[in-house]
Amino acid sequence: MLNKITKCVVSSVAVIFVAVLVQAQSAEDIIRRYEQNQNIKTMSASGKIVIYNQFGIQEKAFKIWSRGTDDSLIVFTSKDESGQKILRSKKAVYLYYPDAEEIIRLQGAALRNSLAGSDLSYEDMTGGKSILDQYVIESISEEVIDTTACWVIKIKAKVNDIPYPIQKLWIDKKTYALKKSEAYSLAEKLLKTVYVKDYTSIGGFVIPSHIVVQDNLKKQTKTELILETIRINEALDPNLFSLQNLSM
Amino acid sequence: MFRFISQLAWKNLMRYKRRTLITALAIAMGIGMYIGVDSMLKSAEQESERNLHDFETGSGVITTKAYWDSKERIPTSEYIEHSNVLLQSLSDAGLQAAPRIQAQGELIVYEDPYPVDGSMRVILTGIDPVRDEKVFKLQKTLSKGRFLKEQNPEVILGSWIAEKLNADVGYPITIVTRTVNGYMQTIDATVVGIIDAPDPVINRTGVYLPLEYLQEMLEMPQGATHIFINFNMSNVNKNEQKINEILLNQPMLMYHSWEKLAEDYLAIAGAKQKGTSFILLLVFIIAAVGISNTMLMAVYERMRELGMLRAMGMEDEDIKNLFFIEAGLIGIIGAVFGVVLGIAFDFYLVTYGFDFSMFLKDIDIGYRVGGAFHGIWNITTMISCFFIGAVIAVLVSIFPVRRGLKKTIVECLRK
Repeated sequence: MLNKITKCVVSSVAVIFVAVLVQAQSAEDIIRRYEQNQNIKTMSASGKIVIYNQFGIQEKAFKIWSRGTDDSLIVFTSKDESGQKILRSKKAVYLYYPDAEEIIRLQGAALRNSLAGSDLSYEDMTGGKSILDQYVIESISEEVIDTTACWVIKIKAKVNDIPYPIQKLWIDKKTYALKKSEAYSLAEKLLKTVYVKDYTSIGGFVIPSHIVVQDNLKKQTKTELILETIRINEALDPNLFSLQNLSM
Repeated sequence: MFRFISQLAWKNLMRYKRRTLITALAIAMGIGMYIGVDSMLKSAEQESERNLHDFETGSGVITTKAYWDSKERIPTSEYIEHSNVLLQSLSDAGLQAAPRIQAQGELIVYEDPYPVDGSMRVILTGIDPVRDEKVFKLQKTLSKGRFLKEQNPEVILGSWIAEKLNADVGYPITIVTRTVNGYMQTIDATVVGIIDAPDPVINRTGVYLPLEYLQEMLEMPQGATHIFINFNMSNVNKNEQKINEILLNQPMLMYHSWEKLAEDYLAIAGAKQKGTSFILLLVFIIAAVGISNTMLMAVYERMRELGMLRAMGMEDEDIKNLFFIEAGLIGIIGAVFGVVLGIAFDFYLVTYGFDFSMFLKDIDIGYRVGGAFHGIWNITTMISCFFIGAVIAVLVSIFPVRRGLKKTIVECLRK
């Protein structure tokens, strides 16, 4: 009798273990597919950042070029910020202000500053590393957002020196594109929500073209990031992402 | 002869009362201002050093070398790991010590109970409520509410920060910071007390949380970024030797005296002192030019008189002495007035002081003086000013007198 119970318990535990293992495995696959969808050789686009805060609505137009997941260059074209540039490389973020004619390397606490007054920080731009290199999968579930069926994957940091120790990702089951993400503090307080309102399908890639970012700690603010003309996998000037080009 | 010359000099001064008075007043203003400003600055320095010791630096601090090397960035991750062991060693050596954590953070408040949503970048300080009292006087300056209790998510604010946020005891506050591992961390705390310290830096920037709670939230159990030490300053060398002996086996740690910790303040105070001395030098130069001009006028106005005295056989040396005594007497009269003016200025400063608190709330002028700038009685300055005033008056009269005496007797009489 005891032997039967033992067998039953062991087999139940084994089934649960295998099920969890299979689910964790599939969550990793989903993340990989999601990252593959972002693996664009080069991209160029123009767009605008719309910032909503207690002072009203501000629009900032920009052009962006990116190469792989590490390099990107943003050049602001709107009147007030005309000529301001942000260069992101694998190791650092640099700013260029045409009035000061000076390149500033952002380090440490400076990376936590707001990007052009938006709800994004410079830190949010950094790090081209794979999610799976930095996080472990904590759980996976399913949810429908605005008629889009999504996997909800909760991830927890396994390495130090990344800003968000816990994140939740809503990944579209069909396209493997990000629909929504939430970033939490170590005390599990919601810090930031990213919501993708619209996508552009181009060259087999599904690229978020209208993103809403909300700093959940600051109630009256919201930032919309809109990409208007997107081109992918076109040859870019190899010097585009150099420091010399930044000050030109 | 000297008596005659002195009497003549005095009579001359009395003949030109208005000129004498105006010149003496120029000296008096310079001396009075010097005594007043010197008294205020010395008092500000004394009070600043006392407040630095009581609220910011103690007698000295232990940090890790890595923390000290980049202390401007407040690198919380470079902390002392087993602070309790070090605290025990310090206690065994008879030294009072208190651990603290400093970390960058942002305070976030929301409408209701606050008037509006808002946020503010601050430096968070984790303090051990029991040990901290042995080094700092923070607890004694609590103006509202109660002091911190261990393990609770609660916060004490400096009075000017609280005023800026419109915060009061019992209000909730959200703090965003980073753990030592670089993760974002949030703390939902309650304001339990408000501090009104004589040190403006504490009122302007003080955000205090219980050490143990902050250690847990920042993922640094038993850690501290600073261990502040308080000892009798009359025995500095002996106490510093004790500390350095304790740190011999811990090459990662370093002791820094309060002067090193407050070197920014000391540099500012030194620069201010130099700047003030320069301004006062200018005041003296203006007064000196006034005396010199007065003596030049006196010599030229009395050129005939001078020629007559010389024609009657008075030696140039005696004439020189006559003018020097006149200048010296003007200097003495000015110095007496100046010292009286300085004493009056000092009396006001010592009794009432100048209240600059309205300006100090938003501007850091370097001095750790919270409200009114007071003065101190400095007898040495008064005595030295008195003598310097008289001597300068004589010195600046040398040039015009010598110039007047270069003329011949005939030229003097023709004038």
